[in-house]
Amino acid sequence: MNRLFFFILPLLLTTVARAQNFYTLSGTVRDSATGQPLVRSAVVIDYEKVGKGTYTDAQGGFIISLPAGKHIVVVRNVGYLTYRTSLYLHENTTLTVRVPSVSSQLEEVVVTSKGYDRTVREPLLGVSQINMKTLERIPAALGEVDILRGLQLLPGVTSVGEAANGVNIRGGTTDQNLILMDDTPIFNPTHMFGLFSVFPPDAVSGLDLYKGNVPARYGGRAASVLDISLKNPNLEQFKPTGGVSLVSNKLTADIPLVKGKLGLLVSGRGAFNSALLHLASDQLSDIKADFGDVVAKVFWRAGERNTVTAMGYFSKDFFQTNLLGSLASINSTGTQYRHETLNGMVRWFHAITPKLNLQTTAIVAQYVPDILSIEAVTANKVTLRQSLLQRQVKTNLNYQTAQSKTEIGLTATHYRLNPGELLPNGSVSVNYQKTPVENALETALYADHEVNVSDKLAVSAGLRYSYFMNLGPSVVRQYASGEAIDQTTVVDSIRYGAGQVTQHYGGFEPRLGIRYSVGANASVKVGYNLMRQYLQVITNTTTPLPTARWKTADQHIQPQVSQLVSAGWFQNLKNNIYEVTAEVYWRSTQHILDYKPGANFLLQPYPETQLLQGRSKAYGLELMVSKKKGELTGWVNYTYSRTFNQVIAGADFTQQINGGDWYRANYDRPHSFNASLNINQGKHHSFSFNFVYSTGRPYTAPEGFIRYQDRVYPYYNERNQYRLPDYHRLDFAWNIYNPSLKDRRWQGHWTFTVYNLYGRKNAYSIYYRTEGQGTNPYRLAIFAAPIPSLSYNFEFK
Amino acid sequence: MLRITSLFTLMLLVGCVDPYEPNIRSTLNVVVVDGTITNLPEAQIIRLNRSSADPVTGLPSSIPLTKAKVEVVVDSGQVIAAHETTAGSYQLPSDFRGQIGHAYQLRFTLSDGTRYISTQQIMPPVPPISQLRAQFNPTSLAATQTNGFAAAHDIYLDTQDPPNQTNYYRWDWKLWETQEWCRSCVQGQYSINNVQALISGNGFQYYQTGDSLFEDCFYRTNFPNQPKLPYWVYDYPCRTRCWAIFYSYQLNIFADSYSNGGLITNRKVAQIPFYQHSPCLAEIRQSALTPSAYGFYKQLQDQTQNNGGLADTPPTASVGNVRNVANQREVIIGVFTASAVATARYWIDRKDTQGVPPGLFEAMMGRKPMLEPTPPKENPLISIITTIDQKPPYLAVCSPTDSRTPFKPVGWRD
Repeated sequence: MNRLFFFILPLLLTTVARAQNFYTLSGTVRDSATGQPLVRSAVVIDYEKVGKGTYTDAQGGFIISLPAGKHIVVVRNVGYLTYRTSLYLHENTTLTVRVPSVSSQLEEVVVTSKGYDRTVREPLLGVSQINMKTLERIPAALGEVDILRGLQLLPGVTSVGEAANGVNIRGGTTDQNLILMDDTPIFNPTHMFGLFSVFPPDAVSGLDLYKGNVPARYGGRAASVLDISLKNPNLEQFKPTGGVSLVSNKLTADIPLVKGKLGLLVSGRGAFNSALLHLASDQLSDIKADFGDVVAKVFWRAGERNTVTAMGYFSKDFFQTNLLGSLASINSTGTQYRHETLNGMVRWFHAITPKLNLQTTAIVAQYVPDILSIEAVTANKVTLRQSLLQRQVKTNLNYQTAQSKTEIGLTATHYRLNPGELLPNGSVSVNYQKTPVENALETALYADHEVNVSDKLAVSAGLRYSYFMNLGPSVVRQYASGEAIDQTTVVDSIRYGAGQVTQHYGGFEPRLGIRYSVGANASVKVGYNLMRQYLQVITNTTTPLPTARWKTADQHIQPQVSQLVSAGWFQNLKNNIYEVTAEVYWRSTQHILDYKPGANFLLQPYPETQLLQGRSKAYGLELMVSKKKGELTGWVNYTYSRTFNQVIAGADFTQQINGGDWYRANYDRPHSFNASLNINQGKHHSFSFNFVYSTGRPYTAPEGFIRYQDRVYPYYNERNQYRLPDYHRLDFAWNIYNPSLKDRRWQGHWTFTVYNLYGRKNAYSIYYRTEGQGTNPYRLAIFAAPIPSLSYNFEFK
Repeated sequence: MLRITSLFTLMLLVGCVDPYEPNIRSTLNVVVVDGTITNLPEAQIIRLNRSSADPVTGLPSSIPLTKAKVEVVVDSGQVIAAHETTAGSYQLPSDFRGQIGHAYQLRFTLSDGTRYISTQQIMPPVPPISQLRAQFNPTSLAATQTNGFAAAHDIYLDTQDPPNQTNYYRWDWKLWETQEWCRSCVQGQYSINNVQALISGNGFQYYQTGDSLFEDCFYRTNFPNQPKLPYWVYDYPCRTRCWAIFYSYQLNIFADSYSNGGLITNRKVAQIPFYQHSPCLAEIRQSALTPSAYGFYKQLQDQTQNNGGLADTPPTASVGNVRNVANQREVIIGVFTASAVATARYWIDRKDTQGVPPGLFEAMMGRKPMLEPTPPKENPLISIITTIDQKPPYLAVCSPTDSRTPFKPVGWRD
C-alpha cells in the first residue's frame, strides 16, 4: 500500500507542476576531498547566468526558486572542475554538490616534457612522452590514431610533408631516428608511403621520445630515439577491444591463458578498403593499397623473480599508384610496391634482489621492401628486392636505490643486408642481378648512472663505447687518393673472405644531463650527447621511399657522428596545472650523405661513386606551454629551428654541392607553431582541435629556362634555394564516449573528425613538367580538401 | 559474440594537382648545344643558342648564336667544318654522315672568341627494329593537354638487344597526316597575285590585284579614313595534296642495364593522337645513345617528365659533355653526341578507332575553319578588284616547311 502511495504521489505533484508551480532548489557546494564549503561558486540554471542564476554563500549554500519542469544545473568555481546535472523539478529539492579541485586531478595531458616532475627524477631534457589516451583524442587524418602524426605536434618534430616516410627531429634526417617497438627496430615506420604509421595503436601503451639527452643504453642512430612500448597482456581478465574506421578495421584481445601467470595479447589491424578510393576522385582510381599489421605478445610470470616476455610483429604493405615513378630500366606498364616487416623479441627479466635485476633480450628484425614492375602483355612481375636482417642480443644489469639508478649493459648486433636483387620471374628481357650482400657487426658496452647529488642537483651520466666491423666476403675498390671517387679513378680492388674485417670504426659516446632546481617549481637543465651511426639510408628522393637503400659504413662511407648540446628552463605554475618549458639546442653532425647529380643507387654495387659526404649543423629554440588538468587541456608550442648542410668532398666543383656553401636541408622549416586543445564536456563528450603552422620546406626551383631540341626545359643549379608556401591546417575531432550512458560491460566510442577543416591546399611539392614544347609549373597537395571521417571503437570491460 | 556495426561517411582522400604561378626571377645566361651526328643520309646539324632571362622582366628567351666557327673532328684527325644555314644552325657538308665505331668531337668558337669543346663520342651501333604494333587506346593521352581528346594509337616496339655490350636507346616519332587546310589569314585575305593599293581619279582608295605572283595573305595598308573592321580569320583549303608533319615531344629512353641481351618487347614508343578518321603514317626512330647522352637525357627526363610524385628526386644541375676550354666552371647545357639510327614506318589505317576525333584543323587551331565568303552571296571584308581569271576565294599552296610537305612520304598508301 505504502509503495503504491509513493508511486502515485509524484504523479499527482507532476500534474500540479504543469500548472506553473514554483519550487525551491537548494544545496551546498563542497570540495570533494576536504569537504570544505566553496564560497561564491556560480550556480547557473539553464545556461542563463543572469536572472535564474545565483552564487553560493559563506557556507557554500544556495537557494533558488524555479518553475517546475526540467532544468540544467551547472556549478562553477575557479580551480575546480565544473559540475553539471539535469533534474526534473517537481518538489522542493536539495542538491549536495562535491567537486574535485583541478590540482588534485590526475594529469590529463600526458604529453610531458619531464621537465620538472616530482615523481620522475630523471635529470634529462628533451624527453617527451605521449600517452595513448591523448593521442586517441587528437584529430587524426581519416580517423586513424597515428603516433607519427601526433609526434609532429610536439616542438622539434617536423616532416617534409603529409606523405613523408618518417619524421625529422631537431634537424636530423628520417634515418637518424632509432625507432624501437618493444626493443625491435622499425626500419619503415609508415604504411601507404607515409600516410599512416605502422604501430598498432590499440597495442601501444606509451612512447618516449628522446630528442635531447639519450641514455647510453640506446645507440646506433645519430639524432633521436623513439621508444614505443607495447602493452603487457592482462593476466586476469579476457578483454577485447576493437574499432572500425574508414581506413582500417582493428581488433585487440587480452587473453589470460593461465590466470595470474601467463597471458597473451593479440592486436591486428587491416586496411582493405582501397576500393573506396575510386569513389573519391578520378586521380585515385588507379591506386590500390592494402596494409595490415599484427602483433602478439606473451607475458609469463615464472615465479617471484622471473618473467619472460615474447613479442612478434608482422606488417605488410601493398601499394600501386601512379604517384610514384617506375623503375627506369625495366620496360613495364605499371609498378607495385610491397613491404614486409617481421620482428621478434624474447626478454628474460630476473630480479636478483629487489634493487638489482638483470634483463637479457634477443631480437630479430627483418625488413623486405619489393618493387614489382609489371611487364606489358604477359603481366609478369619483375621484382627488385632488398632485405635487411638485424639480429641482436643484449643484456643489462640495473641497480636502483632511493637516490640513484645504475645500469650497465652489453649489446651485439649483426646486420645482413641485401642491397638489391633483381628477380626476372620468367621475363624474356630482364636478367637476374644481385648486388653484393653486406655483413656487419656492431657491439657496444655502456654504463648509465643517475644520482641525486643534493635536493637541487641531479646528474645523469652515461658512457657508451661502440665498435663496428664491416665483414667480408666482399670486394672493395680502391680509388686513386685525392681524386673524386668514381668509375674512372679505380686503381685496384681487394677481395675479403667470409668474416674478414674490411673496415672498423669505433669510439666513445658520452652522454650527460644535469638538473638544477631553482625554487620549488622550476629547474634548469643542460645536456650533452654524442652518438654514432653505422647503418644509414642512402636516397636521392624527398622522402626515402621507394628507391632508398640501407647501407652499412664501409671503407668509403664513414659513420655519421653527431654531437648535441642543449639547455632548458622548466617551470610549473598553479599547482602543476600549467607547465612552461624553453629549450635551446645546437647540433653538429659529421659525414652526412648527399647524392651527386644524376645519382642512381638501385642495384649499384659501388654506391660510394654516387655519394658525397659532408657535414650538417642544426640549432633551435623550442617553447611550450601545456595545461595538464581541468576541462580544457592541451598545449601550444613554437619552434624556431634551422638545419644546414655543407658538402665539400674534394677541390673539384663536381665534388661540392652548391659550390661548397652551406645550404638548407630539405626539411629546414624555420618557424613552426602547434596548438592542440582538448575540451572535456563531462564523461561523454570531448572536443579536440589541432592547429598547425610551419614555414614551407625548401625546394629546388629552376633558375631559368633553356630552349633545347625545340622544347623549353627548366634549368636547375643550386639546391633548395626556394621555399614552398607556408603550411597550415586546422583539425577537429568530436569524441562521444559510451553514448548509451549506461554502465554496461560493452562500451562504444564514436569519433567524428574533420582533418584540414578549412580545406587548405597545402603544397607537398612544386614541380615543373615539360608538356609538348613548353614547361608548366604545378603544385601537388595531398589532402586538398576537408576530410571528414567517422570511426567506431569498442571496449569490453 | 562481438558484433561490429560500421558506418562509413564520405570518403574524401583527395590528392590534388593545380597549376602554380611561381614568382621566380631568373638571371640565367647559358650556352645551349644540341648536336647529334647520325648514320642516316640526312642533314647533320649542330644548333647553338644562348638561353637567358630578360634583364628587366626576368622572362626566358633564347637567342641563336650566330657567326660561330663550328667544326667536328673525326677520329681525332680529320676536321670537318659546318656552315651556318639559318641563324644558330650549323650544317655539316651534305655528303657527310657518321659511321658506327668512329669517334666524333665538337669544337666551336663563338663570335666573341670563347672556345668550347665536347668530349669524344664514339657512335654506338643500333639493332634494327624487329616489329611495330599499334593499338587504339581511347584514354592514352592526358586529357588536360588535348582539350579532352585523349584517344590515340599506342605504338609498341620489339627489338633484340645485342649481348655483350651496354646499350642505351632513345625513341622518337614523326607523323604524316592528310592536311586539308593550308593557310589561315588573320585580318587578311589570301591572294594568288599581289594586291595594289590605288587611288581613283575622284580620290577614292581601292585595292586591285597586280601581275606578280604573291600566294600569301594580304593585309590592308594604312589608308587614312578607312572603315574599322572587326576581328576576323579566313581559312583556305589546300590546292594540292598536302601532309602535315608532327614530331614527338617526349624523351623516351632506355638502358639495357637490367636486360642486356634480352628481347625488348612491347616498349611503348609513340602515342599517335586520333586527330581524324583518315589514315596516317608514323615513322619510329630508334637511336643508340652514348653513355654521356643517356646520362644527360635521363636527368632531363627525371626532372621534367617523371616528376610530380610523392618521392621525386629533387632536381639538380644537368650538365652535358661540352665545356669552355678556358673556364671549367662555366655551365654548358646540352650534349654533342653520335647516334646510329634505325627507322621503321607504320601505316595506321584507323579502322579500329572508336569515338569522334576533333579533326586535324580543330586539333591544331582549337576552332572550326572559316571560309572566305563567296560573292555575290556575301562579300569578303576587304574588297579587292580581281583582274586575273581565277576568282576568290582561292585555294592555298602547300609550301614545304618542317611541319608540312606537298611530297608524298615514302610508305604512304593511297
